[in-house]
Amino acid sequence: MNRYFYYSFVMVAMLNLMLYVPAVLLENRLNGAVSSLIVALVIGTLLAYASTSALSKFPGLGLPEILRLFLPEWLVKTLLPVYAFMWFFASSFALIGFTLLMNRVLTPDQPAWNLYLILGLLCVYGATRSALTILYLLEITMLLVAPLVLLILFKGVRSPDLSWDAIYTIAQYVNRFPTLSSVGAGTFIFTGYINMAIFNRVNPPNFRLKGRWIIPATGTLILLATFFLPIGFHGTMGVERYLYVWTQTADSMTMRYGFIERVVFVFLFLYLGLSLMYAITGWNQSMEFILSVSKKYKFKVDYSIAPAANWWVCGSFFALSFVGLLFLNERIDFEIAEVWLIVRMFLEAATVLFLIVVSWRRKKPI
Amino acid sequence: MLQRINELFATSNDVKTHRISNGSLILEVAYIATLVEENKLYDAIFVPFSRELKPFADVVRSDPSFKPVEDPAIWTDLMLRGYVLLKVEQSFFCYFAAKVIRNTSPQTSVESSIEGPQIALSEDLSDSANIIRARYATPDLQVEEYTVGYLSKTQILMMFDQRRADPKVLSLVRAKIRGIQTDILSATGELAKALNDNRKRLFPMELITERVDRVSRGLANGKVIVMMQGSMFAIILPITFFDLMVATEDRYENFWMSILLLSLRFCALLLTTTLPALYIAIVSYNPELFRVQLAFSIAGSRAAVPYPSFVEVFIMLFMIEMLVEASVRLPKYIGSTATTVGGLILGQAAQQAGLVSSIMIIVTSVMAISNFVIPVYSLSLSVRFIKYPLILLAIFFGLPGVACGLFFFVIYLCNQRSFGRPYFRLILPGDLKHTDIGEVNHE
Repeated sequence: MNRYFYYSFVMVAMLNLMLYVPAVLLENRLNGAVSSLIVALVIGTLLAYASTSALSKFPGLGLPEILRLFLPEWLVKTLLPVYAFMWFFASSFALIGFTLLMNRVLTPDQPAWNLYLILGLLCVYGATRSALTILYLLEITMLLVAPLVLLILFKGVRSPDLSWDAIYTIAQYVNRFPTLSSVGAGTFIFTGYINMAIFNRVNPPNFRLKGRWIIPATGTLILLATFFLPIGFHGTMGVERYLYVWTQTADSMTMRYGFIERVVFVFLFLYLGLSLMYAITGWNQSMEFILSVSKKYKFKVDYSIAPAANWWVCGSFFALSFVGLLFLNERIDFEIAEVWLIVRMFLEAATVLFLIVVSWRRKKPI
Repeated sequence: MLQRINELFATSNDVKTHRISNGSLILEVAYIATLVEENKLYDAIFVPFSRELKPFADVVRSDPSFKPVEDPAIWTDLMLRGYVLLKVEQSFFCYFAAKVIRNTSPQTSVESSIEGPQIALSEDLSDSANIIRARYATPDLQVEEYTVGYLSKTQILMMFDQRRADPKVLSLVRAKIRGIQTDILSATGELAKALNDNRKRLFPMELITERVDRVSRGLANGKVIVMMQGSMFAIILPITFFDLMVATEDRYENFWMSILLLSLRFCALLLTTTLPALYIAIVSYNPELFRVQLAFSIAGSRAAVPYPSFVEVFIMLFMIEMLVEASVRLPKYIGSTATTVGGLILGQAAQQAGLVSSIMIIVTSVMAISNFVIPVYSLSLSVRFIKYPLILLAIFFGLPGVACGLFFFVIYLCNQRSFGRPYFRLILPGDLKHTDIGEVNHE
């Protein structure tokens, strides 16, 4: 299970490199984003450590089952839809954001819903699968995608076009006080651990997570790359000018001898895989939360033919997000994202706190 | 006995019933002449009976090759499988004298290898079992026999290493074999289909092989082998997708070369599925994907072609599929002529006539050749099919469509279970020590 946890963690960290996190951070680059990075690193690592050690006390149980153990039924019934919405919103939002981006860059002559139709339907198919299937899929996807993303990051760092002076200049703003929105954005990099809320169900009884130093190490690497690479490529003030700053950053690199000269295409397809994977895990967990509202629901970790309920729930997810897509555009997206990143941070922190308290109580004989 | 047998069988000439006497004893014999080897019959029954060096009744009782038959209901079954029925002093016996026509010690022809074992499984079950036992000489090898098919009464042999095979898989396979309802079972592929729940699956869930080394390696890895009378192919299950991509020779040859070949096969797999779809998507939607020089040379070669890229792809695919199909069905001697005519002359002419671009010819031939690289035939058939959905996606959605189609196949593969075992999953060596995910029992 070890590796599956880290796949999920790295997936979320890498995905956020593309979406709203860099935009929020770069907006605040002159007033506290740098110090927020440090704060986010500490908070994110702490939350990840706390949640993983708390969840390891409950092998084979997901968050719904743990809530049921300790809270009254009516509270569970109100909390689960909130969680379901949280996961659904995060993943649909990412998917919609990516659809708009891909549409803008790759197929500008087609309407965005055309692209969303196929991406969304694929996610419905993926999200209805069993937890084990999704973990196998996660492994394959991450093994294919992660090395290439790291390669591109490495290529970016080694690029002669990178202006280290700009990076040093921005880094000197470290003495500004951190802001809430940048901390919220920064901690989103670390948020891969929340996927364990449902995937903890597949953990075998004697499971212990090893190698947790990977969490701060990868987090730091990706956080720094997210923030500083665009600055290095576009300059201290120039970064503001782009809507999708990372697409432009990737487009600043070239592969001189490749079939495909512009790195941005490779980058886009890697991130297509990541966004699909993220939406699939998100929808799947949201679906499990919704189905768990009923007390009689018995979850299964593996099935080869998806139950009809799965299709109904995921189908309505698709319909909802499709309607959302028609109303959203980049400007509204960005404003929602900023609020969302903060709200999400507090919700997650509260959940982790609850898990910690509960796991302490579990240790004592009841 | 004889009267009853004559009633049971339709009036056919080859059902022989004799009543003979040597003075002291009356013997009734019944058999189907076309199924048994009559020499055997003379040596074992008629000659000892007429000479009577030892009383024949004693011979029958002491020789273990004469088996007593208690139940008259299985008489017809026995006779149909090549047994001779005997009635001696009110008790019944059967004697196995079947004559099986088969290919003698065949060479591997479907999955050939250069330095691996050259002998293949036989069409006769007992020969195959012999070959396997000789290569897998442990007392743990367990053999179970079943009969399937209302009319064909095909014998099926299931072999496994009782220490290594997974009991869950075993019980599943047993239940599947018992549940088969068919009149006639004539090939291993049919049996494999019957063993599977989903007849419309895209990828093979079991490995059909004629190679003895694959079988014995499979037994050692805890796989179950199912063989049937009359086919020189065995089924290995459960398998993973990666088993289908490995040729047996990978184990015998140089390590680095094997790694290289394996990765080559995966590249070929990717190429043969995506190349035509990518051609459409890139030419019609996103020519800017490639570097400028390459994009220009593709566009230049398409200058003479008067219709959109997907029509071009369909023309070429239609031709290549017909060629492959024709060369499989034709006799060996004409086959090579057909490929030469089709491949060389038609391709060249089509390009010069401006019906297809020269790049398209390259795409098609790379696609066809890559398909032949896949070592297992059933997989290469599946792969031949799955490029068509990708082409449709490319026509309607362009590059993102192709990417999504590929992703769909990955999800589909991850969702498959081969007899309860994950089909498309990386198994790392470190896994064996730890408990695995999903090993939780909720009661």
